[in-house]
Amino acid sequence: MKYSKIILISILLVPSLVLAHGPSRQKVVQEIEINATAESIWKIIEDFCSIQDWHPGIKSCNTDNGTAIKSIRTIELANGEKINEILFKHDKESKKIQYGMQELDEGRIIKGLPIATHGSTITITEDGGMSKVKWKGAFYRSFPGQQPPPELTDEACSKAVNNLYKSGLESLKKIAEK
Amino acid sequence: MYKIVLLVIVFSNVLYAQPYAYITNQGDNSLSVINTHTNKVIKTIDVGHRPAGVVVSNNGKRVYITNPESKDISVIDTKKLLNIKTIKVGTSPLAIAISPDDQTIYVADWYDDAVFIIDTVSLKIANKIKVGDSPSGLTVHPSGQFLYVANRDENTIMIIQLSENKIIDTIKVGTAPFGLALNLKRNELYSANVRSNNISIIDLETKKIKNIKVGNFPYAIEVDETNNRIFVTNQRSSTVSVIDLNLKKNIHNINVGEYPEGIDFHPDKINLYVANWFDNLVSVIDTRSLKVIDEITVGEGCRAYGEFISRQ
Repeated sequence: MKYSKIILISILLVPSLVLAHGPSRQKVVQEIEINATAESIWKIIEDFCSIQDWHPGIKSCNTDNGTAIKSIRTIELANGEKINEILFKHDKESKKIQYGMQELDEGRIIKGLPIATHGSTITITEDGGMSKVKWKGAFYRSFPGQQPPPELTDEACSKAVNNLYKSGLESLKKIAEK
Repeated sequence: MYKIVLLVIVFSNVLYAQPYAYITNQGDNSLSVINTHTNKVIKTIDVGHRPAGVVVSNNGKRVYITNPESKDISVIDTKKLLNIKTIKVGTSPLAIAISPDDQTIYVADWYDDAVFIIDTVSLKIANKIKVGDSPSGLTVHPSGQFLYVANRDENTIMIIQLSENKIIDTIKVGTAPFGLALNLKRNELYSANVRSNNISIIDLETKKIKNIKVGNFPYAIEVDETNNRIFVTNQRSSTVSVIDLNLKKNIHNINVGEYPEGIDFHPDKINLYVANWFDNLVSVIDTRSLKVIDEITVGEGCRAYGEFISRQ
């Protein structure tokens, strides 16, 4: 009886812990040179859900409002995990797309991408026919406590995001240079 | 005649020769010291792990830095520009503020849901007050009577009476309040609400709230009492919002670097300094033209969360 009470109290206490994330935000920047015009690269990525076509790690994508600002896309990772992302900026002139992860449900940790409050920007710049695509992101680890297991540390999160961006950019380069 | 002009120049140099800006660099565990007269980094000081919060004492002699991941406070002597002491505090010290008489610092602990009270003479913890969930913002009333605490994960501001260390009021504001600022002239308190993309204006007389829309992920606030304006850093919009307090409106957005966080006035009340976390840059804004007039490269992941410029 006593034990079950303790368990119940522990369960009740957990959600308030889960709300907070570690205090240190992480950042990641990946960049790639592509032998194509900025315009032609923009054409590949401009649709908010085109990520399912050019990114090998994204299995599927659906949006509630296409490429309109505040549209929400649901992307599905290779392992079946689904993430909602909101479009903040979509600027054809500066060739910039900015989006951010919708807040995760309490306690949720995405398998393979254990991050929270992910904000991301993709920018294309061109110099004499050669283009540079820069993918920048800021995020927190989603593990709420002080001692994360090895697969949920800041380093593990940073590695996962680096891989996500890098593999996406490499694939984009292949498609654009075809 | 020339003598007078010369005197004025000399005098103003004495007054404003060297207010320093102390910028915490979260990514490389250091503090960049900027001479605001030249806008150059004159020294970089090693501090604890992942420094974030900062406060300069009113007499300008010390700077206190919070290091959430080494769970301590670094004490900097501003004359020697040296880290002279480390104080262990709680589990995750973040926001920091100082009493008007420089005798006490207040540190909000994100995980412990508490404010630690530290004596600046003994450099020891004197007391601890339990507050709300994930306290993230702190400001002290210049009378020394009240401490205001923003509880990020329960959307409230608490008012603590410092004579008894007692919570005397809890006020609901927008979602996820972070930075706080006081305006004595208008008797108002402001909170930047990260999740609702607005600021709350709290009338300290009536405790009534008015919310004003700003950019995405507003973080910290600086007040210009003379011109009835406040300035808000918007992390996700990479802007500083200019709010007219009479119109109660966001009247202008100034483009700065990415993820602007800490914001503080130079003592001249003309130039604002903003730390841009993503770009490792401090932007200097002239508040007369509302334009960025200078950029200073600092350390990795600068945050400067707090009052980071010495007032003398």
